[in-house]
Amino acid sequence: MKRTGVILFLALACGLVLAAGFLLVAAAPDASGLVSLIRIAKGPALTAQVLARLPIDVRQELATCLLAFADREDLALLRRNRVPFTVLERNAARREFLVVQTSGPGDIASLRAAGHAAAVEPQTAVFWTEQGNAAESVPAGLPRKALPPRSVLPYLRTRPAPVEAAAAASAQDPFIESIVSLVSSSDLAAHVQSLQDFQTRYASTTNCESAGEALFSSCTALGLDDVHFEPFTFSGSYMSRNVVAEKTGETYPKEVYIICSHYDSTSPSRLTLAPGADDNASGTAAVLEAAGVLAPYSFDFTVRFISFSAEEWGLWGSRAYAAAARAAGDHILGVINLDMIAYADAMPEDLQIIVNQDSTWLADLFLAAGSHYGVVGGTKTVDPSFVYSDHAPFWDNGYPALLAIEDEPLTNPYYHRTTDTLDKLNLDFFTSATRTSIGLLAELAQPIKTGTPRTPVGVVASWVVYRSLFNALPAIHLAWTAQSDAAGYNVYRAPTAHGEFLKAPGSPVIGTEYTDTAVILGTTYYYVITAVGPTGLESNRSRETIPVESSIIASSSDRTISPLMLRGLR
Amino acid sequence: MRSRHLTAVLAAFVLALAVFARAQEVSLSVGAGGLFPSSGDYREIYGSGLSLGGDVWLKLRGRFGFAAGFGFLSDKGLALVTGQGHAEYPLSFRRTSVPLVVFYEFGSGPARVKLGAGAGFHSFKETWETVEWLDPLMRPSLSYRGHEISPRIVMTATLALIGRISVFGSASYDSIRAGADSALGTTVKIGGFQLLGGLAFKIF
Ligand SMILES: [Zn+2]
Repeated sequence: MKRTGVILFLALACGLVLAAGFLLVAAAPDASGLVSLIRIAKGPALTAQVLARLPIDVRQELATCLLAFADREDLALLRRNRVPFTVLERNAARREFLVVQTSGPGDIASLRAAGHAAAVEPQTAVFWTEQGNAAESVPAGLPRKALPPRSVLPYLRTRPAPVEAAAAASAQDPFIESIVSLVSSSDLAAHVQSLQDFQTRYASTTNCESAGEALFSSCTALGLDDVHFEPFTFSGSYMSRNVVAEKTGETYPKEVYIICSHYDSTSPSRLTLAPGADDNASGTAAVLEAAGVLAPYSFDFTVRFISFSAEEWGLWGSRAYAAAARAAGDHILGVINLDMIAYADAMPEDLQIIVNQDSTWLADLFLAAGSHYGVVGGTKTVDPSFVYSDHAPFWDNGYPALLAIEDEPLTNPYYHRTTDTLDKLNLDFFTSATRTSIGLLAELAQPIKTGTPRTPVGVVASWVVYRSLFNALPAIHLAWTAQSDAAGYNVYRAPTAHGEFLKAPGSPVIGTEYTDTAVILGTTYYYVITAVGPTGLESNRSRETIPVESSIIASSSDRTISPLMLRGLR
Repeated sequence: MRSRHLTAVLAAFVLALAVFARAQEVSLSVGAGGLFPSSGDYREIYGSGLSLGGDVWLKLRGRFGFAAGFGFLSDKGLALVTGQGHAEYPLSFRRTSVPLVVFYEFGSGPARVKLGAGAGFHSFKETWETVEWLDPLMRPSLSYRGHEISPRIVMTATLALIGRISVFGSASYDSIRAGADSALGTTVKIGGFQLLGGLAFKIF
């Protein structure tokens, strides 16, 4: 009897322990990593505050929605915050997802025949397969882009209000005009011809690698500061190389502007014949021409001339480059991506300039450069959904970038065909587009002219507060490095990045400090400094500087700043 | 403006008291000295400033009496800076005060000590001398003007010299809290410990 009692007791105890364990496991957060791919519609519920607060793993911004990965907790959080979303795929972990451009139900059907597809916008679908090899399974001919490996939310959160660049205020610079006048139609035609002569430049073919080597040699011959290959693997075990050439900036060597294109091509006979004259020997020729024309000059900022490979396979070259740049903390200030800039379906042909919200200023400057240097018109399209060229990986990594393309939707009937050859191109349009691109690039990189003072460096700006017993005066203190060739310095201020810079009162300043008291706390201001020589010649502008404010606000918030702000000084 | 009116009213009041209360003794003192401010911010901005003062002392009944006067304080300083700024913004601070105290006098003969307590009526202005808001939508002025009434204690020692003239030294303390309605919205102690020395003249 006694033993039976003990056994019963032990059995009961074991049962209780098992039940408790089961309950614990059931209640624990899902450790298996069940992650869903969701679509969050842009709308009133998706405010900046929500974006700032919720830890959402956003991987793609599109025109009307965001695509994000979310686990069960994230979904609950979204529901609690009344952010509407739809689940596209419940088991999204370790899957490869592509954003695919679709032009109708036929495209969706062909995607569904090859795997799973969900339409997320009228012209955008998400594609994936059970096996996870979406890039290999996606039907050829549909523009596609993979979701980046990291969240793009940090770039959406820090996004400033959209700004208009001060394009209207800018004027043609005769020095830059003299540079772009060196662009030659015959050079461009020769570059296209030599790329076309490789028969195919389809990435994975040896011809494509040979084309890369030819580009490398052409850049090397120009006497630039650096030319190198950047190899990468794509689509499993294939390899190809980006060709990266650099003209290092004299004043700001670590601040970089990029002009780029993809040199690979495709066609239905891609392994043997894909001349890709318009797509994209045209852009690559323009990049090569830019390197040739700019090589003899010196610039404040570094310029990189990049020819990407494996774009037609899904932007592999630019994805590798942009991700590595972000990982290295590179300061890429702007990217001009040229893809198909030589076919004119109508005259006068104009360019489509496609940007996301962070890059609108770049498009404004491009259009202004068009009127100054290129005699080519253009249309700005703010469309984060157009991610089907090498600008998109820069967007994914928070860098401003534009795509210049002849038409979107495309009108070139030879696109991705074996008939995309030089004879179909319009050289006048091609030359204008190239001149505009190089004009903008030169404007951004700031050519150094002999006789003018050097561009100021070491500009630092910080918020300060001057305080009496009963009041406080917020101010911005600017300081910069003294230079021997300057008799004074002009201080310019703009309310937005790349905005209209107005000379500050008291300019030119003698000395290397300036205090701006015409400021309101909580507002962001942008400053540039120029040096003025003894004869009045003005230097290029220093890079844009934003005052640091965190420390001053934090240190004074206890008694100085917050009442000041509360009482209407803001 | 207000302090000038107040001074006139008080002067009339003191004269009336002297006549109608049949004061036993009336004397006038005039001195100069300095203020040692209570507030650290005040000390940091202005240091210790120059102050001038004059009082009429009326002895009414026995050793008790009543005193009224006029004080003036003027300081110059520089705005404090938080952050990496090197600009200088000169400030000035002026305060006029009308003290009214009841006192008790110790001692007899040439050396006497008066202990008093009462109130001070203060009018003051802080001025930013070289800068104003550029944007009229912001506050109209960086300068600040105010009035306060504060408690005051005072101790004065006099030593007769010749005839009706004596020398005096006085120490007074005003606790003045000001600025609750200023842009910063925090109160600042603009009073402190004041030392004056000068001459006193016995009228009758
Ligand atoms: Zn292309």
